[in-house]
Amino acid sequence: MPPRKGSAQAQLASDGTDETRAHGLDDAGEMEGTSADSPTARPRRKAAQTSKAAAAADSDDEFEPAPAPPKKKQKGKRKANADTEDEYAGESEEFEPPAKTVKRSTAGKKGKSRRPKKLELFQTMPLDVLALIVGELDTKTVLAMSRTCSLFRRLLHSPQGTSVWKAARFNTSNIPDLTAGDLEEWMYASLLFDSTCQVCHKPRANVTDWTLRVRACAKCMKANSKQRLKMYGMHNAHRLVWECVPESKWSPGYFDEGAIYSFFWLPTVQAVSAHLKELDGKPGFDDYVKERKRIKQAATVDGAAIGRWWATWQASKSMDAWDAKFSRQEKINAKLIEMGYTKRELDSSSIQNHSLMKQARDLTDRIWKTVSPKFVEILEKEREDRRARELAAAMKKRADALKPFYDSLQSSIASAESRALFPPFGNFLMFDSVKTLYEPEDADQSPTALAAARNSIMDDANRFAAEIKSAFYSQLVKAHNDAGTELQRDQAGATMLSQTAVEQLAKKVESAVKCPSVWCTTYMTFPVVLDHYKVCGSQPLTAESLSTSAARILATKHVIAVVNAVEPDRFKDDPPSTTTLYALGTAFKCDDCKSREGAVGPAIWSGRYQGSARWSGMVQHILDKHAQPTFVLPVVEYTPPAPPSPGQDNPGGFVVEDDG
Amino acid sequence: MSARGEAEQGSETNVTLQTSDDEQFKVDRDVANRSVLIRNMLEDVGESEQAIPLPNVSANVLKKVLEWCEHHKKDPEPLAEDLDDNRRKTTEISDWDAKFIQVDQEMLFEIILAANYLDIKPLLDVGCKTVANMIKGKQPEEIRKLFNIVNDFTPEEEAQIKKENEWAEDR
Repeated sequence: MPPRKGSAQAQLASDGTDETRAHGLDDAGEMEGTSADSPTARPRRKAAQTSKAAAAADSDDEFEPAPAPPKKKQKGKRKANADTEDEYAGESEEFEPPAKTVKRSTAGKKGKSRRPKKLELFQTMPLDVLALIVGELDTKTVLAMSRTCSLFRRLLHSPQGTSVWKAARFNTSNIPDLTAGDLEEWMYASLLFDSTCQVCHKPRANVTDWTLRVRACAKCMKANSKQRLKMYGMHNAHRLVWECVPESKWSPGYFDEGAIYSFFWLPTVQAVSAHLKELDGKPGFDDYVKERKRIKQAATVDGAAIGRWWATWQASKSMDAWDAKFSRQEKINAKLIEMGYTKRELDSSSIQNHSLMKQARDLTDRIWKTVSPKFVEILEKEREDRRARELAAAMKKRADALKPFYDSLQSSIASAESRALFPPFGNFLMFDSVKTLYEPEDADQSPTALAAARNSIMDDANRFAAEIKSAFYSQLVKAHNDAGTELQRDQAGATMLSQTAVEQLAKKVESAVKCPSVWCTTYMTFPVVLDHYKVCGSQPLTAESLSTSAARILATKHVIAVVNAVEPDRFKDDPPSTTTLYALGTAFKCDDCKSREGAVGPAIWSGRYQGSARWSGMVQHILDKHAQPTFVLPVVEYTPPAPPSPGQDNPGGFVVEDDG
Repeated sequence: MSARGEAEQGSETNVTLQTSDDEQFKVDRDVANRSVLIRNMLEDVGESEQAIPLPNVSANVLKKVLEWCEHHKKDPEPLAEDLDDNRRKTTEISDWDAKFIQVDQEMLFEIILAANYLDIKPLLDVGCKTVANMIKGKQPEEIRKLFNIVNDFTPEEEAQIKKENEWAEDR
């Protein structure tokens, strides 16, 4: 291979260099010659838009450089243009017109030619070397290259550029060849990889029809891709036009099996129809029709081939993107481990699912520099949180270790009532005297330390008992007053009840309170309810935890009255208490809300449904469903419990007489 | 005996190469034979003490090219089918070549030009692939920045590019 000289610019710009070019391009990838029917021909639009100077140029020389832009106006025009297209926006600020650049660079070096800066050499490469370089690229990049400057544009839009495009298609997962032959390579590339609408030029047009060979936004596609019968205004189209334009067939498949709809591209129909009418009856008409029919057939084959390629390529791109994401993830993990974080720390979802983690972009040093502080910040915060959780867990462990001590303190109290008033474990841990036994990391829980703390803990416990008793009793008296209960006062007309009278009042079943635990509906009298809560709940109690109300007292009285009405002797020997009432079992039913025959679904979910309930459940039901907007006591059905069969439980509390 | 045969017989001898800046390099004939240009010249002129002039290659570039030739002097000649475009494209750049070609961009282009001039196809391929890798995936504006390409499109041409995909309607 003989060495070749001369730059691409020189070769493209010089006159009569066809021989040199052909020679130079021979082994650079078998550049193809121009075919008669696809003139290198920048499409006709170009001809229409070419300036005067270009029109005057030799039209046979396809490499005639474009006329130099008018120097004075160029900047202004560039700026105006920059506003119109994103891709080229801003370039007027960064790049000056060639004439100016040359002038400025040679100003300070009289008599010396300007030395090309670094990669400016790229444009001065011999054409065959340039072809070798571009032949290594993918189609999308070649398309971008053809839009960098007029030199590359002319080269890549010329027949000499065909081999480059072919090589690029090979490099891009073997994009199939087109058999129709009416699309130039750059048009084909633009169809595949541009994203602007071919009708309105809006960006991000994602709808493509490979058979019609169009890309458009949804709106333009709908407006221009039509079925023949819906193509209004085309009734006077040439009779043969439908056989001469590409036709895209579509089947709705599952929804309308067997149906096939054909779509035509309106601008193509119009253009071909006009051409047919123009040629009709003249020589060349038959040839044109024959060629158009061939193109139509080929476009269908090409459309199917491109569709298959596109699907494969998308799948492969998607796989590559996944691979790239996982590769990036692995790299980030490795770097974080290098920084001293453990694999367990990295497993955190806030790291692994971070938006910066699974991106398809490769992790360069620059990217790592940007993203690493964010990961470090998250990891440090999680470390801090974990440390706090560990400290809390350790403290809880120390607190739990005090449970035996708590039990021993409680059981050391002789009186049952005082024992009930001993605080629940949650409250016990809140005492300052107890906190010293578990809060410090080095808290001393030795028997000596516990014995030393005993007195002060008991003082705190007594204080708690006094506070909760006082809070509950004041609520209870108020509730009874509101409910109209006749209170037994020590002296007639006394405003205040004595302590003993209040304690007696609290022991009555009407004064029963609900267990402070949210989900428990057990009712018990004070202070026994505290004993129940020590088993049932774990949260510390407050003064408001044990609450009662006039409505609750009335509801309880109502339930007892219902029992008395049905069984007047039920409480004759055994006065009503929580124990005797619970012994009745699920004997109560709200007449207003009882289940109706066949009531299902919403009737039940509405909350108005009420099955059989224990007495406490009925009290709670009255409070929940009949207290708002006005408190109305419902009719309650009471079904006395049946005597137990032999071997059954005795929910009704029947006394089984021992025959022996 | 053919000229080629003589060249093979005298492969132990040294060859003197003279650069554009008149610097001379004495290299092993095997190394020099990596260049098809030099090999053909040697075959044509036969045994000669005279330096072979390389007017298109400067000393610093030739030094670099000879470094590559030295490393690859025992490589087999590429087979005819390996020169096929499709096969060539699937070949990756070896680690050594990738490291070798990590030079400043001006030197990279000088190496490509020298490889083209001296007709060292594998080196030319390495250079072209390296440049291609620099361009891949870039937008027109990025390529312009990379190669200091001046956007010399007229406003009409720019408008044309914008509407480029609105090609012949009767397609």
